[in-house]
Amino acid sequence: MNRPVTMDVRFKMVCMAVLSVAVLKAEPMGLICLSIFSFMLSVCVRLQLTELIRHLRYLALALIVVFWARAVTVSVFSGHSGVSVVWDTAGAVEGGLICWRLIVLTFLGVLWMATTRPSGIRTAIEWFCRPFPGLPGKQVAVMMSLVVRFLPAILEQARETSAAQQCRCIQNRKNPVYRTVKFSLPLLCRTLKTADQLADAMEARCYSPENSRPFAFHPDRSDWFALIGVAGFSALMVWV
Amino acid sequence: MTLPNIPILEVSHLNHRFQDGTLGIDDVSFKIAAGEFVVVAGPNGSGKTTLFRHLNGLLMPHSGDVRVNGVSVSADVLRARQMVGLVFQDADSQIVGETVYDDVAFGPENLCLAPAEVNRRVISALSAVGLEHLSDRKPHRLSGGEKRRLAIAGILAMESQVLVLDEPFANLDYSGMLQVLSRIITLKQTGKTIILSTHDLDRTMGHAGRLILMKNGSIIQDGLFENVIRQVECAGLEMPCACRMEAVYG
Ligand SMILES: Nc1ncnc2c1ncn2[C@@H]1O[C@H](COP(=O)(O)OP(=O)(O)OP(=O)(O)O)[C@@H](O)[C@H]1O
Ligand SMILES: [Mg+2]
Repeated sequence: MNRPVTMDVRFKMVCMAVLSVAVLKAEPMGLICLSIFSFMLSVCVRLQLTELIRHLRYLALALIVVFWARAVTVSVFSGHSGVSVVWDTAGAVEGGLICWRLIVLTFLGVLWMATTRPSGIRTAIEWFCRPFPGLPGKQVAVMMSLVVRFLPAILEQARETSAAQQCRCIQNRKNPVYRTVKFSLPLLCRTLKTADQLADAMEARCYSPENSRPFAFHPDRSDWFALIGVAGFSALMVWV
Repeated sequence: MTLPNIPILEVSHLNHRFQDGTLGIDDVSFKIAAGEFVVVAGPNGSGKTTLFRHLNGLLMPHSGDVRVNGVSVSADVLRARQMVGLVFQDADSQIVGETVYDDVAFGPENLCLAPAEVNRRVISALSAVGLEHLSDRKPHRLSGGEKRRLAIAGILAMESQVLVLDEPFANLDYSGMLQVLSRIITLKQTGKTIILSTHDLDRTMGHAGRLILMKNGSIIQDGLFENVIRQVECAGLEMPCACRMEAVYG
């Protein structure tokens, strides 16, 4: 049942890449099928949809902006009528389509994050870097997996800073610039310091990219089937 | 301002479950009268920080109610934050200012006080924790104990009725601890209500009037300090040396 969880990371990465390209290229018919497919995947891995929606509410804001930018044409005249706002149906359809693609892409991204361990991501990146001699695969991989691990820590820190400021009645301040500055500077300071400490802590425990624990890949026949299936399906969806 | 028979803090049947399903607080109820000095103790993860965050509305209960001076926290969060000052367990996340002085001024400025009053409060808060000589320093360069004292000064300057301190003695040296403790005792004498959590019951013995023991998100003991202190071992805490001596030598 939990196929994607046990799938070989490299295969999963390629599948995700293929699916993403398909989502970007597909026409509405194909996009419907791809959406249904991603939804079924999320059911398979038992992703909590309510949780997901809560995390993505800021994306919704960005999408609304994108949609309006496409759907509405605002022009400013020098004449007496001043500003005119024109609804553009073709643009609205196009904007809707863009939003839809972005939603499915984000959805796939969340699926990937939810089912892949950072160490898996790291080793897969390392593996893909191997054929390119100049590329410091290990360093790139460690950096990316650190980012993945570090992001939640930064978010947690942001929550703490905001909570501490609320304790000192920051809500009384109505000036958004003041609030943004007072919030972002300490957070930035704190993040840089945490990064420093993290680096020190890693060195103190004799960290070096060379001697990090190898992560075993377990490719099997079903991975190939999944890859071929996904690739075929994506090609079909782009083609229809 | 406080009516004699309305408790300044009243927590009734408070429950809190985190997003991931962890039960942080499990049916907690108590009342605290104005002017009390209460110590909350319990092993790591027993829910002290979670409880404290409910007292000024940083967390909202899933069921149950928290009332500050008779008014539910959820009804007026801002009022609760002004009345209940909370010093965080982690001092770093509380520091915002570019200098020590600016940091302490942050709260009073948010209360829109006149500059002279802000200045008075900052100076009195800084001298209370013994940091007045460092007022131009960058907070991030302070030592761990100095940062903690700065965090306490930041809340002292709010001059709230109730002072909630999460582990105020962690990271402090003996003289720093004495400074903070004596300031807390002075505040109590001026009529403030003090609630603090600590693992170190020795420090507060003889000063606090009441002790609440927590374990797994619930209150297992609540009563006079000198009575409850004899039962701390059932919460997995160390009994203060003096109590053990008394038990052995009578
Ligand atoms: N954001 C969160 N999400 C999930 N669980 C949490 C969260 N914050 C705290 N917990 C859990 O809630 C329980 C109570 O935590 P809390 O921080 O209140 O304990 P504490 O008594 O303050 O401990 P300590 O003495 O170590 O500070 C712990 O088991 C903790 O793991
Ligand atoms: Mg705590």
